[in-house]
Amino acid sequence: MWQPLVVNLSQVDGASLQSILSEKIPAIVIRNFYNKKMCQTIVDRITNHSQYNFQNGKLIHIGPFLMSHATDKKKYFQDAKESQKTFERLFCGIKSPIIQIYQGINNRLPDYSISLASEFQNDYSPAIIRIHEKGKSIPIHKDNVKYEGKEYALSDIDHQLSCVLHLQESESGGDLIMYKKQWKKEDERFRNIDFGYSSRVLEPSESCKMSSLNAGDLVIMNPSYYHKVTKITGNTPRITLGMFLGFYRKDCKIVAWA
Amino acid sequence: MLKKSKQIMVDIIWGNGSKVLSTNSFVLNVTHRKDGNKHDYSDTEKITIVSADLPGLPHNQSEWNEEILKTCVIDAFLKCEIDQRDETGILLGKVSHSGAGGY
Repeated sequence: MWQPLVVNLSQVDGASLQSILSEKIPAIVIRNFYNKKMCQTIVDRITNHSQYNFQNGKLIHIGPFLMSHATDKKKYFQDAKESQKTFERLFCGIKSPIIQIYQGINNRLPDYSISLASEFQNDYSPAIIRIHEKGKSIPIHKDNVKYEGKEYALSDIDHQLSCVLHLQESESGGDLIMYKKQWKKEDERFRNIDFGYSSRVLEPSESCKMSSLNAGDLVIMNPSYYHKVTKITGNTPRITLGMFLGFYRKDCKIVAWA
Repeated sequence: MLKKSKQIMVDIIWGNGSKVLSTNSFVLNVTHRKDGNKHDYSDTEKITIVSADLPGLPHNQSEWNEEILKTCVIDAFLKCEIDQRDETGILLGKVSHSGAGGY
């Protein structure tokens, strides 16, 4: 059975993180990683900020993400700089979940340093907040900066992990499904026009569904495995904060970006 | 008074790059065609790149070579906005990557 490890923070150790890198498990779900009240504070700030008013049926992001700027580094780094100020405002007076993720990882992998990725003194985007309203879903896809981010220095990492902190869950839907199949370049023939892949890319493959995630739970996964998020069917938007971690084995270094 | 601008609708096809023919041309295995394209396109088309937006491909065309083009187009899923078909049947157009990642 290919199932995620569901644990509390105290139960996570370096070996369990290595289990994702070595593909023994699809993901780790760390329950109550971030304080629920602080999740609510962040959600309230997002909701009350006019700039981020939810637009019915539209996906809204706070902060840029590299894959949407695959060939426009200048714009990505400009937006990343702006996003740092936005995140400072969002997390003002509370513990930054970004820092908490860095610390959580670093405590389990003390031989590694961890920092925000930078390139020629340009910081990468530290995180992305995704707000998905009712009716939205995320199609089958993978994330692989070594392929899609060739123009960026961090495309030379050895391994990539994805961290997704759940800030608010919808009443129903919005489940993460991971498939026991890793992307390979030939799979590009199964691409959809705009984003993601046809389900034909998965046949046949085992899958696991991560439902009943709660605000404050952190999911750490290997994003080179195909994954998707099912349609959100509840009225409350699903809100997550995501970032990637890139591992440089030889240098014992982890860099973070979105 | 508002000025009316005429929007030119270009034909678009998508697919995966296969054989590289020169420093700026390749074969596309066509998988998708835009609804409303004015012309028909076969399952395999030769493409000459007029302009490009591809990760890893230098902005300056004089820096392109077949090896670089191979790494950028072979198997990659590509969007081709067609300018015209030349007298030899090769399509000329803008070639770009298609789609962005992120869960």
